[in-house]
Amino acid sequence: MKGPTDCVCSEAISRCVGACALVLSGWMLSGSLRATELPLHVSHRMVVPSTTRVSGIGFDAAGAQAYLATGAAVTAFDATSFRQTDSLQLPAAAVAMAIDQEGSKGYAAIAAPAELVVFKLHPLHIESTIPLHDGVPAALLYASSEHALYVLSDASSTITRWDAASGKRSGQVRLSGALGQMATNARGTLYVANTTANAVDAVDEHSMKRLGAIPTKHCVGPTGLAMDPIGRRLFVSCQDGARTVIDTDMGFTFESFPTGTPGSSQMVFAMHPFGAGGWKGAAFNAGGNGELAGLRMNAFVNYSAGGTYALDGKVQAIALNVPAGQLWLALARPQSTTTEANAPAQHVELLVLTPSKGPTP
Amino acid sequence: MNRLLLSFLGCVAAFGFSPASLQAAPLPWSALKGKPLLFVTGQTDPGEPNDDTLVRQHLEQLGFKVTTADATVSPSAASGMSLIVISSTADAHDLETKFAQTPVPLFTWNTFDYPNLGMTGRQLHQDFGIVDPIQHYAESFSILYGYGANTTSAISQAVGLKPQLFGTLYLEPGTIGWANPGPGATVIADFEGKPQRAAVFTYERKASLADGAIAPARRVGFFLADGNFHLLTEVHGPAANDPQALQWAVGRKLFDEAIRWAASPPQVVQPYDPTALDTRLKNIAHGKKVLFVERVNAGEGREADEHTVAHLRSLGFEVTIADQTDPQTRADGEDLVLISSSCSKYKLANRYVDTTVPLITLEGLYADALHLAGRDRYADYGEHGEEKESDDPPDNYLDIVGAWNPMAAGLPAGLVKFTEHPGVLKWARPTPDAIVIATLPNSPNERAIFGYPEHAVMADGFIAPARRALLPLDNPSFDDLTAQGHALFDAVVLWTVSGKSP
Repeated sequence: MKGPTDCVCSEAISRCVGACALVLSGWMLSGSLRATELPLHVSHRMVVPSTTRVSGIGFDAAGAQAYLATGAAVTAFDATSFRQTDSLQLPAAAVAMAIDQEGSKGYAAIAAPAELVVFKLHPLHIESTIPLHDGVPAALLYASSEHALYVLSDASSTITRWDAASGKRSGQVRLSGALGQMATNARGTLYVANTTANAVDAVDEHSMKRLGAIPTKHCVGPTGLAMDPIGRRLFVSCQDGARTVIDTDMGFTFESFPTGTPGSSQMVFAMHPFGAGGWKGAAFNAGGNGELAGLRMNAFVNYSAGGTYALDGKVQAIALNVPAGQLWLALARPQSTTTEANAPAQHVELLVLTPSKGPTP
Repeated sequence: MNRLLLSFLGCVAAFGFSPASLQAAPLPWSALKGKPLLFVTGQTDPGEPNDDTLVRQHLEQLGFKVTTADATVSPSAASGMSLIVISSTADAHDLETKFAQTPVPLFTWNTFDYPNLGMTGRQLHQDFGIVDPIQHYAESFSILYGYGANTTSAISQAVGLKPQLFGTLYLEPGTIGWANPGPGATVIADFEGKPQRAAVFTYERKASLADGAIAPARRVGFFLADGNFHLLTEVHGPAANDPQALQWAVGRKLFDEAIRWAASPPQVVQPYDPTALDTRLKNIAHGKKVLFVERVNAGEGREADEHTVAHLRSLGFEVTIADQTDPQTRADGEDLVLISSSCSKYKLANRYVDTTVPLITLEGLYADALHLAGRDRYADYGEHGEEKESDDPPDNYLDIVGAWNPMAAGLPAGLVKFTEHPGVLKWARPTPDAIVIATLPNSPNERAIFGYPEHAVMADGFIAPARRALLPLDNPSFDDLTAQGHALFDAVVLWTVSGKSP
């Protein structure tokens, strides 16, 4: 393994300098952290046919169809040809979207009026709407293990549980602090990033009672959260640019990558995200700081910094399409950097990243 | 000082506890706020982990005012400090012996510096050692498991340490240092249940160090290495609601409580003063009942037994004599059972093993039955000077290694003439939950005077129902005791019959 000063500047100097700084200050905790560029490249990029924010990206179970919630629409794309295949008009702009792959359903939370829109994926059509009375929704999570939806409301600092089958409200927890991304462990515990408390709150999914908090050591202002499919590793990204890995069995932060580029971000994780021959697992986070960062799972108890990838815009949504080996990003871009001559002044691009030649992530 | 406190302290003194002994309890964290701390660190090779920055931050979060220095620091830098903390990153060769006699408490995880400080002998792999994943890959997993060796020390009590496995570091093959400290040490936690593989160990001020020097202040050795402070176990979130998980993940708590203990005032030792000791003993003896178990009408030792009883009565104890074959129920209602060495282990037949009355045995060969030590005669317990039963010659000296404890009667560390003439001296090897006061000369593993606090984990996992002590007074040696030997006898009686604080 190379030392922290072995930064290889293959592309932009600024990217390399930033990455090296990250490595030097991060070396203290994670000897494996080093400046590398994520071995990904943009295999497809397209302008999103809307000027409004992308509030969610999701895929069907086969990874063949991608669903994009942007403004008051959900648009379906073929994940190979990237051609639009379907679209759905929502009653209002969505603030979040979640997909139930097994049930071939989608859920969109809209703010005005506060509603949960339940829609079918094939073909896209609205199945029902559920009024939300617990404040304006800000985030949404579908937990397949519980067939439950969790709707987070910033205004009321609550997370409300809805039964996906019946559409009935089945519980609520009120938490203090500014809340970020949610994740579940498929064994009855819901986790939510508590940005102001520098902790991850844990909630019993059945009773919707708070079980305690896991402090995000060496990671200030957690916003992004992702769980491994087994439900024992929680990946956290923080506003100070740090990322940590928590063993949820003990509530113990055992891997810390302390310094990255500051900014709020979302996190996603998958085992073998780009195929069986690549990384055992990877967590990616991206947000408003114009950077995609990766954590590589070498073993279940060992992680290293997978590298970073400079983005020319702010990431609005991120999602992994594991069957297709794709990482999708919705990127808000100013006109000056756009590749499309006829693109609007400020617009959103969809980036699909796949492994570069050489070391496969 | 208000009147109520004066009255309380008066009662405490009257019943044999000195106010000083109460001061041995660790200070509250709030009292450590702002205390100056010298943190001695070093460099690690590029790419090698180094948690010194994290440790410093943590010490500051605990309230200490931290000054960092490297191993070339002058010993005078410790002047005025409340605690010296030495990281394994500091070069032990540069450190040399500069802090060995510094009268400032010291906490270290610099394993190679242990011998410099006198905390262990000098022989690598025998007195101290390192386990790391490169040289000892398989073993580097086993060190993820520590064992609660001591349950009654202040640190153990604060941590809630139990005589069971616990997680030392998070689940990665790790690097640790271990030690085989001297008999004056208290082994708090060990690896593989072997006290000679101590993970966390302490020396109270005035305890004898492994090199025979006297600890000038508290000393703590801890198992950490350069870059694994952040892996010390702790538990948060839902797991913190599980008592088993809480008791498993105590690595960080051990660190913190050991730091707190080190930075707290040491046990204050009353100077050797047989008259004052006699007074304290008389104060507590009044109204107390002692069951003296002997071989009634014994031949050898009969006079000594009579004189022992007379001495106890002169102190104010109400002494009842029981024959070795009398039923254990004779101990009911007593405050102390004293087993004479005129007794036969065979005839005692396990009596008094589980009595809830504090007990002293002068018959060292009864150590296995009483769970004072293991079961292997001449390995776990034995005797010097008994014809045909010992290879070792008679002796009349003991080596005081626990001068800090009241059982040492204020005698200084080192050799003390116990009896006027060489004779039989018994010994045993207690568990790490015992407080060791004296060993036989040149035999640091053969412990001659020691005591188990109530609830201590004794041999075979037996929990002490009350205080237990061994005093190696063979018959008819009572009449041969020196003044110092008498003081030791009285001090052990006083400690055993006193309250529950160690």
